[in-house]
Amino acid sequence: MAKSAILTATGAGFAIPTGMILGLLCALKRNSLFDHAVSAITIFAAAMPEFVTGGLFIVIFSTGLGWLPPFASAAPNKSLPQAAAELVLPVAALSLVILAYILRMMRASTIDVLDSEYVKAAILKGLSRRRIILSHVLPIAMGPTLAVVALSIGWMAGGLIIVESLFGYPGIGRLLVFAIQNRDMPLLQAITLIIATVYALANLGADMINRGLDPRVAAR
Amino acid sequence: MALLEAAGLGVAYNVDGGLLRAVRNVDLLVDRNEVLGIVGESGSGKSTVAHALMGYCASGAVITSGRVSFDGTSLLEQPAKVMRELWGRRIAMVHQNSLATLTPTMAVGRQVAETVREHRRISRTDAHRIAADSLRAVSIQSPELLMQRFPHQLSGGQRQRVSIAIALSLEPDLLILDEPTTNLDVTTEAVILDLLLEFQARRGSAMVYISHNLGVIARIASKVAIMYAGEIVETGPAADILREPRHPYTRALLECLPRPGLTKHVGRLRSITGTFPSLRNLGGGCIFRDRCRLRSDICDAVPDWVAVGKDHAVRCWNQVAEQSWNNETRGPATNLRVGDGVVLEMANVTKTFGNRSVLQRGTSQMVCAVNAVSVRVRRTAIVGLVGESGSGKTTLLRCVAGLERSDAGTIQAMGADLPADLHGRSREALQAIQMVFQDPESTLNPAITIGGNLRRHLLALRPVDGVTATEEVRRALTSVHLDPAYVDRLPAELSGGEKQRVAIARAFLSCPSIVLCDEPLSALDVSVQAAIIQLLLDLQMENKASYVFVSHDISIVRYAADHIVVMYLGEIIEEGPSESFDTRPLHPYTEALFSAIPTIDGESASKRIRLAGQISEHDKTTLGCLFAARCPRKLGMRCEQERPPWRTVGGRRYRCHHAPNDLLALQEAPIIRAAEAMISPEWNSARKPAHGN
Amino acid sequence: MNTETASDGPALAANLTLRGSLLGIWRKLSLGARLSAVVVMIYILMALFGTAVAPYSATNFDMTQVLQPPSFAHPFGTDGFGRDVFSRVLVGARTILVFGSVATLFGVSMGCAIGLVAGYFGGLLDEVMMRFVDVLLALPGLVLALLIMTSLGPSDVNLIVSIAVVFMPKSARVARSTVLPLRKLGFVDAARMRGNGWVAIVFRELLPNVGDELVVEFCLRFAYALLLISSLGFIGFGVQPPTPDWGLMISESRNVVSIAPWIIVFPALAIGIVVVAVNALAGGLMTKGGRRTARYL
Repeated sequence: MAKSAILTATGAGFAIPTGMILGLLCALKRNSLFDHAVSAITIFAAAMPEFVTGGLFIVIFSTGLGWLPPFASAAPNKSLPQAAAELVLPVAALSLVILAYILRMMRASTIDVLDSEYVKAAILKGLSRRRIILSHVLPIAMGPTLAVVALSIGWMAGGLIIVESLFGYPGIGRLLVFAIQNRDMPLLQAITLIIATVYALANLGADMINRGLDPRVAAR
Repeated sequence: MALLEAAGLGVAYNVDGGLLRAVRNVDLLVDRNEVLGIVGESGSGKSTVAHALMGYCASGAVITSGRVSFDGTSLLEQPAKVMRELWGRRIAMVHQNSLATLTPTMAVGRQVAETVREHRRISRTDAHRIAADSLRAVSIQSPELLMQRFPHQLSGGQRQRVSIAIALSLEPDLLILDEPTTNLDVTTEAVILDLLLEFQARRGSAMVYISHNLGVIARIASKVAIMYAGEIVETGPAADILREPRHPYTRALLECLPRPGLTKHVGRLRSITGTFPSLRNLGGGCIFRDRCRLRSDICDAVPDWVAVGKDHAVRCWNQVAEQSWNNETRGPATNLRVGDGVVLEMANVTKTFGNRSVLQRGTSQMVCAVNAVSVRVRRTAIVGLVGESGSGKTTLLRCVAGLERSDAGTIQAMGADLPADLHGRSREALQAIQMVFQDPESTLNPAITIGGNLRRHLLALRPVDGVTATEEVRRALTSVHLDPAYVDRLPAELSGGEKQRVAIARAFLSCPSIVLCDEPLSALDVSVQAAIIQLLLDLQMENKASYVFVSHDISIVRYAADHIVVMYLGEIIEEGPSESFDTRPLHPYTEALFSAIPTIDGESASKRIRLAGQISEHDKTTLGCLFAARCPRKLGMRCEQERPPWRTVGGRRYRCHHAPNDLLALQEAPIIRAAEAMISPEWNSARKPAHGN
Repeated sequence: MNTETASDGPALAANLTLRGSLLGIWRKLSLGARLSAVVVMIYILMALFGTAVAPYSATNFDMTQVLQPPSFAHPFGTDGFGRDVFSRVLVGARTILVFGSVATLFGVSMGCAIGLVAGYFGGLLDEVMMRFVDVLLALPGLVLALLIMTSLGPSDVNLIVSIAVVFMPKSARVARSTVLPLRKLGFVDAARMRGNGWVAIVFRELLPNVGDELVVEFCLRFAYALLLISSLGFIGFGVQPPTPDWGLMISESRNVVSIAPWIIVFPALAIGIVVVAVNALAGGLMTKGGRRTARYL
């Protein structure tokens, strides 16, 4: 299970900040070449299931170019670079989708906020770009994005199942499939419980941050 | 040299299918110590002008011509960096909808302070102090508390004051205000106008005040520019223009307004015929040509500016050329008088709103919106329900409609008990009581055609066959002066006034005896309001119906209603025949309400009474008078401890501890203690301070 | 316009994307959206005519042609059982599209009905229904679908059921949030005042206004359905063999990927392209926002 945690954490740690920052940039440079290019890429990235991207990665980077190993080896004491190299493809496959979703959500909500009356009023107060973005735009734009972040954590649970099966990674996802195939009910229940709890915590966390950011939510 | 100058300004928007020329050839001049009022209805381009005057150009907008200069420097085409120096510091703007223009996630105090911090290198504590001072200057008591709240936690009046505080915090040289008081109660509006005048007198700044409300403009502006469809048609000193308008549009606009003494039995309100020109395909010639009463052949050429007085210029070939516009006699708007018999009777209606959710424990906040109110509506009468926010007038109306369930009391229509719940009402009851709603944008189902909207309403109330239904729908549209071809249009293709006409047609489909009107005019332009009132009066004559007319606009109610009921915090505080209100309001609240209405004539006889504080739920009490906390004529402890009795004078009744003669005497020579009420500066300087001012 | 009336202010133009004829809608789409629409049409054609057009049987084994690389005879190569990949891809289109659309239809309709009713009534009914929905939302999509599949047993019908169940809560949430702002509007009150009950109001008054968003929601869910079906297929709990399923095709070929990558590549691309296209189409159907402050930020 620790291995799954590493996979998830790395994936999330990569995807979440990158997604948000890129999303913000896209919104600010709306309709520029940068925005169009990134948006086009995310449409593809968001759509492909993990085994598709994973499979394509394996084909390209492993079979084709031979840069990275396709499977996690069973050797007990791997060196760190070896372990890291093994992580790259699975993490990439896992996090690509959520990166895309987070980016698009951030972009959409930032665009919404940028068009709002209060941002216009803030501009007309003569405030600097930085102040407007940090204090007026971000707190509101992040709200829906955080909801997506929570969803992503849940999504990654599903993604784990697929990615671990694909890459032969020994983690909780593969264990789940194993449990299903062998009708191991207690194991199945246990794993499901763990997944549900993590998901619920993620949602709770997102909710709490949202409350802190947007007082209108708290007032409801 | 003028502080702000616009010359030949033209702004257009890029829309699918071409260029929308929103503003054309505008020349404006504002100097220090001047207040320029820009009058325009919707579509006149006034907001676009407001932004352009700040040098702000939204994406999609293009400056097609002209220049705007502030203190000698041009504002247009400057890089954002330069403009940021000016905005907030030397030029500031107050926007219309404060809920939308204040950032929802930031505490209000911070929003005031950040402007200060941005433009001056000072510490956070200093900025905080200045922010508190600015808030105090806009009459917010205990600003420290308010500064920590968020915009949605404040009332409309408070928010607008915050917006003004933000604008005034750095004492700008130029203040631009875009309809700042439009959504506010009349009494709050009056206080804010006082504030603005006071600031201007003190600082000597220039102000540009944009509004569609001529009364407000009369109150605040020293010079006026009238805008129509993107062009300025008349400019000049405020007094001159309002007394002697020379452009046919200005004059027609003024004729749309109800004046004191003019009621529906005396004369009609004139309206402006024709439709708004399309801003995409502008023909040549005078922009007002198609709707002008004075139209002639010369009008096919664009008129030049003609000077008609000192600083008074008009863009018209055939300027209005006689003295006062009061002289024209128009026939009465209606012949209908109040009939016999009572069609609708509300007795002790009470409605309380709770705030509980079954699954959440915790204290519930009960708000008593309507408290034991009794109203009687006679046949073919129009009863006007007047009050400000929180008065309960809309809730009462909705209880009659069945949209809210009253908690106590009875409602009788045509002698029979009316079930509180819509489901319990018979078809006859549903047919007899119909309603016209406030917002024309949401009153029709936007996904269904006009014909569809009407048809389903008809068939639900009067099941007729298909052919008859089609006929009825066409007839309904003609009865409200709309082309029957509209049946196939979608609501989005109609203007606000047209949608409201359809809504009225819909209400009359079942030939109702009682039509409930919930502020049907408040979202419409002034020129449209006059036409819609006339339509309502005409339909009333045809159908012999009675109206319950809720409005916050007292001038309209005085014009059209037979009987007026004034509500405050859920109770009736005064009611009576509308003629009697003209001579004297009695209750101190009614008096303050009437005195707060900005009038065109600016009669100095109207004593300005300003109410301290604001309407608050906390004022409700079972003990004393509801109005005790703010009453300028408070007697003392008695008002706080005893419920005031009903008093009757002729056809009128009101609740107050003062006897009628006392009130009349007080109104003759009011002695208002400063502790209970604020006095406007002009009034204060016009008479010697009496007691502890 | 009528001449004898007084003016009523300027009229606004309509801007509803999905209004009007198919041709009208086509004109309003951007280039990307049009491209996606074309792609989706191609897939639909594949689904309709795939079996007729496929050169080889999609299911018969042919051990003489095992693991052939792409060639003229077999444009996509053959797999470990000698089956022509190209034919399998073609036929697989029908599988995935049919299953996907049926499941989405069920799930979204159920969800919308629940969401509309809950949103309209508010209060206790709303809270109860939403709690129930939230229970289902507690698990992420794939996990939930897996659980249902395993409890009901693997079969084609159960696949549809499980996906529908996964979709129902999300559609309910979306439907509810679109209805909430509409509840208090004037025309709803007018409907009440003519005696309309909640059924008439929800389905005749509110539903047409929610239609646009529902179509978009359907497209997005459909795309997700395709993902789910192929993911489940990949794990082995999807469409029952021997019906070709792209996910299963990839899963089966995992071990031979180093020597026969085409078995993975083509189904993978097939899945990826259709999902992208549906998503892009959905995005193109949504109304676009304004761009007012870009110059200053």
